[in-house]
Amino acid sequence: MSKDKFKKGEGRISRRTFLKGAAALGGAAAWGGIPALSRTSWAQAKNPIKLGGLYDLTGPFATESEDQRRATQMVVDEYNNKGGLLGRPIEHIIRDSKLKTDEAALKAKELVEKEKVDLAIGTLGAHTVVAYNIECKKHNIPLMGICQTDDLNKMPDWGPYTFHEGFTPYMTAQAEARWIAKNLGTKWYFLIGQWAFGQQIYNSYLKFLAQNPGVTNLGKSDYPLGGTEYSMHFTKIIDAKPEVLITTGFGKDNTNQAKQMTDFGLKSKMKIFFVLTDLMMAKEAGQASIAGTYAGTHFYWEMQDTIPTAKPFVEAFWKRWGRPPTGYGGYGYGGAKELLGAVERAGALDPEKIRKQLEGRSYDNYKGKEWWRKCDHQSMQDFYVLKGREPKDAKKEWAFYDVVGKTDADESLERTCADLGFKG
Amino acid sequence: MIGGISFFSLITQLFMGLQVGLVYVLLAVGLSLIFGLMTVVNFAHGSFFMFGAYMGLFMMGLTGNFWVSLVFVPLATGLLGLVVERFTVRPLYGRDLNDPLLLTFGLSFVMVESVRLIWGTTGFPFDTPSALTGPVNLGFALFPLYRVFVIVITVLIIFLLWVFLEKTSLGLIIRGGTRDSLMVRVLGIDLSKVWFLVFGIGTGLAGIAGVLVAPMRGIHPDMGIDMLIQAFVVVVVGGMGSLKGAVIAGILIGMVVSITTLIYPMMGEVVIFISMAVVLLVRPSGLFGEEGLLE
Repeated sequence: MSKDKFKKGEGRISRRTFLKGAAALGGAAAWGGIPALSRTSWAQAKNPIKLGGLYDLTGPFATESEDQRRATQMVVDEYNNKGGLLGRPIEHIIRDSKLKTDEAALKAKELVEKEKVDLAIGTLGAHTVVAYNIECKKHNIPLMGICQTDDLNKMPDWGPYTFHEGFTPYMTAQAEARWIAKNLGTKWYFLIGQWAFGQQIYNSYLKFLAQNPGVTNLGKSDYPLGGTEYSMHFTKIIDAKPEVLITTGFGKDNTNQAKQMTDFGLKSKMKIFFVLTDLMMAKEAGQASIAGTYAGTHFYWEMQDTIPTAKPFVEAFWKRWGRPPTGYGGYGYGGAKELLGAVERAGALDPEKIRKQLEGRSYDNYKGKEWWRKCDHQSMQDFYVLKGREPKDAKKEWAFYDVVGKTDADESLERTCADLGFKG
Repeated sequence: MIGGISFFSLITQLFMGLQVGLVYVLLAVGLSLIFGLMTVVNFAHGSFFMFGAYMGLFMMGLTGNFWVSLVFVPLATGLLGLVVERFTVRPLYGRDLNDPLLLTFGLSFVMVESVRLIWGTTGFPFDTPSALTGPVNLGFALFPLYRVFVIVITVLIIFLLWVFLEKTSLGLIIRGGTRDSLMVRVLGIDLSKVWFLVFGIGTGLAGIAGVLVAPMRGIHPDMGIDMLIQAFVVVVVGGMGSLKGAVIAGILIGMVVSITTLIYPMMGEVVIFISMAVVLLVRPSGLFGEEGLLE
């Protein structure tokens, strides 16, 4: 290269151009352009294995969905820190479904067709995961569902490479119903959210009620997902005089309900049972609001005192993110471990080989023994009942609950393979 | 018993509707005031509501005193409103109605994301002030004392606003400006100063609504979105720009939602929009839309 080439103003960047470029780069960084650039160079350098992560990062379940993303990222980083998977780095490509079915379908298509992901994990909403699954099924991409839904493990929604680490609402309700009838009372009233999960839970409770005539259903009030004011339901509930109020309130619905039920004195008139809760809901509602209420869960961080595999997960999560993991973080962690572990054991990304690695397998990633039912790829695991501590008894930060009940993992809690449309 | 519902239940439910309706009113009057005088559809109003709740939390953390928060919050949100009006809304006066609408729509995202950056995506509980915890016996039902307080203070705020608009010379200018801004300017009054002040009052009202609602529903960055939709419905039903309309429509809608929830819970939230559709079909300008801000 001759010196003549560098004449004044040629082959150089003027101060003004530099400033413009810097401003543009700054703007790109602010709007997420920099990760995209670094991602491209990462991809070109190492030909990564692409793990699509679709999460409901906007809306009433944003906090729990963010934990799913974080926990999945922890597993991805564990692999990348030890040299990757099959000798290749793993790239976690994240999209936000905004908890909307149409957005989930759009983002799932983007992950599958544009990003060409090899593996998929997500979501939290029972409705968004169905849209995700449709797209993954179409392209034979193994999907690890990490939410509560009755749809992923039943025909015709199920696909040969669809796996479901989360509980089904059916199992949740069956496990809880037995415990509630035995421990809290037999006159029930339901507060049911108008979304897929709420309806699936209620249908399962109805089945339990039909099989147990000693338990009475005193009525039901429906509410829309993401509501803010629940007090207007209380007059009807109080008039029905139930022993137990069973509610599907989750996310912001859960925190608003807990707060308002406390303010209106419902806790002194009946037992309150949230079919599902998680750590950050307790944090948002406040100890006084959850005190004395019961709730179902598959994982609560203080179980680390009794479950050996929970301890390293809780400690690693806490160290990285500054607080204990939520149960949904557990789903993300356990699901990602299973999916990426299956690829590692299979030595390939071939979905058929991955499937064979998972079907019927027993495992313990963070919450004790689990196993994959062979016919429908449904994870079987223990279920727990929590009770909110009184403020004076919550001595440690994040120590919101006592574990007061446990239902052991049992395939009889789930619909049979034949019920779900599987032959043989 | 009326249709299987006891008389006491019905009265209790109407009272709940009144309380919820007054929360709608508190948010809607600010929105209506800003639109009535300035014809600015403030899409950031819900974000000012949310900001008020977070400011309340911030002040509670500093002082531990709810009453200090209650005084501080409308001043802080009102001040933010003044800054927003001076530097973003004012340059758009005289332009298309859509311009401030788009501006405030964008501003609402900026405010929500800023709060997420500062306080995180996870919400916070907001304790009921200790002097207002527990139930109060209303004769027909036990009702949370704090909610009775919200009813009282909302009525007081609306009364003070009415006195300000009806009985002061500045209120007279605001009313005049709402009716015919050109005529007011011809009289030598600088309306831009009045717009500045009204935007501050409107956003201050949104802020105080935020801190009042916080002990009932907690705090989170998206808390303004749902409330904004409900406030808009109230303003549209009452008549855009009508303060009286906002008050009456807010209370009516609260009661309609409450009674519907008692009779047929599934329709509780939908009935808000059905009410709006019915009113718009019968009276397209809303219940009091034609009569202006203070008629």
